[in-house]
Amino acid sequence: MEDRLIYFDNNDTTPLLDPVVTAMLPFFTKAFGNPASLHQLGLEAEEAVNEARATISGLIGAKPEELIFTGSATEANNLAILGAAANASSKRRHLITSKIEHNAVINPIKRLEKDGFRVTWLDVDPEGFVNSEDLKKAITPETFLVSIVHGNHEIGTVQDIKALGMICREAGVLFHTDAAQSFSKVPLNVTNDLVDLASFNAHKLHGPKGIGALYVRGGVHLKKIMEGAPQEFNMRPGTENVPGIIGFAAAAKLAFETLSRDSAHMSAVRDHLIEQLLQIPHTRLNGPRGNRRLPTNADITFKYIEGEAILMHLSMRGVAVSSGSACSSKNLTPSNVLTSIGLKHEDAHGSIRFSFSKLNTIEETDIAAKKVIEVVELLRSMTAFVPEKHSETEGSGEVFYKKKKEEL
Amino acid sequence: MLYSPQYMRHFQTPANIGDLEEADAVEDVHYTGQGCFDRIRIFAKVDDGKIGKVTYRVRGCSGTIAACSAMSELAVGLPLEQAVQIQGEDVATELGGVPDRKRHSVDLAAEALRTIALKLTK
Repeated sequence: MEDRLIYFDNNDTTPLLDPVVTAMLPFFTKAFGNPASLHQLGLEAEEAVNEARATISGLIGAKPEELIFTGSATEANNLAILGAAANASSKRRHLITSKIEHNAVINPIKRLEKDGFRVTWLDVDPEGFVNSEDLKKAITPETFLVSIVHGNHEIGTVQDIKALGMICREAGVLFHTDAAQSFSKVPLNVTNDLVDLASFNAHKLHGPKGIGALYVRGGVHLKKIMEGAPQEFNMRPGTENVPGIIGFAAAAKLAFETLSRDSAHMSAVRDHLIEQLLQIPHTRLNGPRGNRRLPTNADITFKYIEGEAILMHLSMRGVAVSSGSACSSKNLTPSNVLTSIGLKHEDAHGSIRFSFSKLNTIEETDIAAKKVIEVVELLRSMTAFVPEKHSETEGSGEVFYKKKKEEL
Repeated sequence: MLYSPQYMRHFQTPANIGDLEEADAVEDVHYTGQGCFDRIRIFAKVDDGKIGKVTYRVRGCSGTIAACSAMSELAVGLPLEQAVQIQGEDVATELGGVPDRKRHSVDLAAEALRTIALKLTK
């Protein structure tokens, strides 16, 4: 392992910034009160939580009472989807989502499907975009909810949320978006963008893990999915994670202060790396280019080799990335996102996600690109499947094998 | 689970990788379960009824590369009748154990050796 880690896995999680830690620290030891307590310590904690709620809601164009703190964006997604389903009338048992959602959306919806709800899984185009006309056609009088991710966690596609929101608003259908990756990276104003429900978290923007939030537009009714005391407007029981909430607000405030500058910087870092890596033969960029892509994300397929092996070699060379390879997961299932945009399973296995924060630099991309080139060459030298190596056409390794066996 | 030093050594510097011009047999195996596309081409040479040398080419994850390397060392000197009995667990032991998510790797490397040993016994 080299001394200086190049951390290109910021779509997974980010390091806390010092001012965030500083803001949180008093709430562990001194101002440790429970916001539900009626003594001074409790009232101070309640006040701090309310200030944080006002800060974050203000950044997304919401009112403070429209923001419910949760333990994660996953929990926020569950509350939005399962809570909306539980509140839907018996005549509205249909919901719509896309095929490139995060598991935190897919799995609650699959649970509803098992329970008898009808689900439309919308296809996406080769860049990962949901087609507005497809959404319009899918909505029926039975539809109660549409859930479409804002910024995709693997290929960075940023949906036109306002266009989708408008279709849902006109149809009288609730519209939820998972904004875990896009929050503070690309603009989102829940009021202007006609969003009814939106999920967020802190740890993708240099805030702490274990804290998220759900925006619930005023007038939208959900049924809570956990029972307990009446915290969070009686929608999410459990003593509030006060240090987490304070850290969330501090991180969000910092991120929004420099959003434009940081987005431009991350986009430059992203594009610099993409251009270098696409010089390697047999590579492709997954997802769109430019401002329709999260500034934090570059996802590249390196054909004929396995993503997990690339990841491991890069890790040993001091570069942290993630992979769409099934061999990265216990059950060996390939990424639903990559196969949904048309990648062959075999190519999905050779995909690497490089993801950035404002802390990354152009210099780091130069160093990382050299290491990626070295690793790709090494792994391709081990396989019998690279076309020019054996004058075979792409994907015909089996043919080569048979020919060679016959020769032998 | 962190990977063992043996696993990391075999992955970083795999032994016996490449073609084997003097091979008596060559076989291909690939993972047939859901999802994974790992593939191995195995070459073997026999000396006096025993495996004399094994080489391979591999497209696979770290586990499959490491498992091929360990298998290629494990195989040398084995009588063919023993080589056809090799199991994934034998390869896993050479690697100092593997996590569940790499079970497919040791199973595939063992299958490669069994397949070529069986061919050589015919």
